[in-house]
Amino acid sequence: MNKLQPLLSYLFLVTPRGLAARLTADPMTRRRDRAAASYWTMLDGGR
Amino acid sequence: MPELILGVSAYYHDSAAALVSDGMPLAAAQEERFTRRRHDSAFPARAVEYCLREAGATLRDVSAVAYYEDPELKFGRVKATFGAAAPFGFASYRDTLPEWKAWKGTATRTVRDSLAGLGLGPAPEVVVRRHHESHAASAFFPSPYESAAVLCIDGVGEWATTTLWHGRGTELRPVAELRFPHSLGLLYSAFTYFCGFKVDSGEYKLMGLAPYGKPRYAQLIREKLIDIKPDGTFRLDMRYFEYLRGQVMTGRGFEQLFDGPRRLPESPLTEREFDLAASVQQVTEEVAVKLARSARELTGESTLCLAGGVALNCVANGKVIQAGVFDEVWIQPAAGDAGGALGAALSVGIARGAGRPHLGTGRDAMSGSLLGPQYGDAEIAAYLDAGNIPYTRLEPQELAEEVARELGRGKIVGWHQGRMEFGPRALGARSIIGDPRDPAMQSAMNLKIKFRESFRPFAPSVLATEAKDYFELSQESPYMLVVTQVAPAQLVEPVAEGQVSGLDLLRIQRSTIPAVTHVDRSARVQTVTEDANAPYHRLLTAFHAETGCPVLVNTSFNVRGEPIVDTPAQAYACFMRTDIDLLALGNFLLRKEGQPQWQEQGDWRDEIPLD
Repeated sequence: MNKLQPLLSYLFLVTPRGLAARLTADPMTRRRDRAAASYWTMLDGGR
Repeated sequence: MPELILGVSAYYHDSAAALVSDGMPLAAAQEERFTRRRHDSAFPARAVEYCLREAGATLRDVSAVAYYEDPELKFGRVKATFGAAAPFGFASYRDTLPEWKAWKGTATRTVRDSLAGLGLGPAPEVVVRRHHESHAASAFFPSPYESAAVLCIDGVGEWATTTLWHGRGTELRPVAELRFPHSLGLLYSAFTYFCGFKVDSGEYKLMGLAPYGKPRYAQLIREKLIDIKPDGTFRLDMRYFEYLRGQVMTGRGFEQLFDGPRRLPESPLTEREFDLAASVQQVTEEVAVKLARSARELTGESTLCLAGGVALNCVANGKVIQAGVFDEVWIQPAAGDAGGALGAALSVGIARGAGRPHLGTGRDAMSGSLLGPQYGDAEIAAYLDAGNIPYTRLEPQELAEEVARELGRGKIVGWHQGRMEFGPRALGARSIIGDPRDPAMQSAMNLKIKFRESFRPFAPSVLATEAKDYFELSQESPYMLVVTQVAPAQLVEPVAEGQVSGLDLLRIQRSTIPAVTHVDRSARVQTVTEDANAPYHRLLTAFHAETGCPVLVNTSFNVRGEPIVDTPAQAYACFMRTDIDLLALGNFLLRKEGQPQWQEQGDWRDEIPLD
C-alpha cells in the first residue's frame, strides 16, 4: 500500500487539481499574451 | 559586543553563511570550501563555525539568524508545479515530495535544529527573508550608493525569477517582478543542459563558449522560446521546456528546434554548441539591457545594483554597462545563492536598526570580498615545518618582487594570501597567476594546471590605475564580473583569422596579452586597488616594474571540479598535483624543484568529480 500511495495521491489529488487549475487560467500555463505591453507584475515600491 | 546577525543559505546549491554587525559584513564563506564538495547544498555547519570563530562569538552572541528564502512559500510553488505538470510529472513528484514534506518545506526548523546541534550555544530565532529580497539586499546594502535601482535575475527562488527594487538609504522596496516558470536563468540553464554541461554549474562554460560561435539560432529562440517585450520583460513558451516535470531541462521540443539530440557530457563540442551558446548569450544580453532600461525608467535612479545568478554572466553585465543606461553599476561579488546568506543577514540587521556605515567612504562594504578564513605566518610555518617542506621566508615586498621576476620568466605561481574570497571568483587571495603576454600560457594553464577544457578563457587582473590603457572600461571592475574589450592600443593584427573557426580560433594571437584575450578580443577584467587587496596590488605593481605590463593572468586556485582551496595544506596539495612552479603561502615561497616527492593514496583525479 505504501508503494502505491504516491501514485494514488498523484492520480486522484494532484492531477485533478492541476487540470482544474489549468482550466481556470493558472498563470503557470497561460499562453503568451503577445498583445500585452509588458509582463511586469507591478508591486508597491515604485516611485 | 554589537548586535550580530547570522545569515544562512542552504539546501539548493552553494550553501553559505555570513555574519554581519551594524550593516557591515564581518565574515562570509561558502560551505564547499570547507567540505571540499563543489556547490555543496548541505547545511553550512563549517561556514557557520568559521563565521562565529572569526568574530570570537558563539550563538549566544547572535541576535537573530536570517534564512535566505521562505521555505513554505517555495514548497507552495513546488506543489503548484506538480499540478501544472500533471499528469506527466509523477517521477519527480515521487522522488522529491518526501523530502519536501519531511524537512525542506519547514527548512527554518531544520536550520534551527542544525544550529542547536553545533554545540555553540542555543539557536537564536530564525527569521525568513524571501529569496529575491535576500539577493536585492546583498546587491544594495553593501553597495557604495545612497540610492539605486536594484535588479535581481536568477533561476527561481519561491516564485519570483526577476525582480526590480528601489533602494534608498536603509529602505529597499519592491517595484515589479516576473514569476516562475518564466525565468531568464532557467532559459540559460536549459541551453547549458542541452549543450552537455551541468545545470547550476556549467553556465559560465556556456558563456565562455559563446564567442566561438555565430548567433544563428537567436531569432529562432526569440520566435519560439521567449517573447520579449520592449521593456525586457518576457515569457517562455513552456511547451519547449521540461523543467516543470522535474527531471530534465529540455526534451523533444528542443531537439526538433535545434537540430538533434542534446550533446552528451564530455563528448566533442561542435559548431552547433558554439552557435547555440552564442545565440542564447545574445538573447540574454538583449533581455538584460532592456530590463536595465526598464529599471531606470521605473525608479528614476542613475545607479544600478545587480544580483542573482544571471548577474554572474559578466558578458551581459558588460553590455548593461556599455549601454550607458546607468552612470554606474555595482554587482554583488557573491551574486548567486551564496550571497543570499549575506543579503538576508543585512536585511534583518537593517530591520533591527542597523545602518550603512560605509556610505560616505566612497567604497562598498565588501572589503574586496575578502571575508573568508586567513592563515597567519605562524600557522603556515607550523604546517610547513611539520611536513619538512622546504621554503624561503621573505618580507612582503621581497616576496612580491621575487614572484614578479619568476612570473616574467614564464613561471606559474600559486598565490595564497590573506582572507579567502567570498563568491565564485578568485580575486588574488586564492589564485593561480601567470604572465598574460605569453601566447602559450592559456593552453598550458588549462591543460597542465587546471586539467580543464581547452576552450576556457582566463581572466586578467590589472592595476586599477593602468586599466584604461589595456581595457575599454568605463568603470572599475573589482570583482571580475564585467567583460569588456581589450583596448585598441593592445591589439595586434591577427594572422589568418578568417581561415579558421571553432576551437582553432584559440591559436591566433590578437593582443599583447594573448593569455587573457578571448577569441572575440574580450576579457573578464578585475581592477585591483591597494585598498581592496594590498598583497595582490603589491605583486601587480612589482610585475609592472619588472616587465612594463600591469596585467596578470588570474585563475582560481583549484583544479577542474574542485572547490577553490582554502587552507595552506589544500594549496600545497594543488601545487604538488599540478605543474604550478612556485607557491607563495603568506610570506613563504616554495619552489617545485626543492620539494619532496609527492605521495598520496590513489589517483586524486578519481576523487574529484568533473564539473
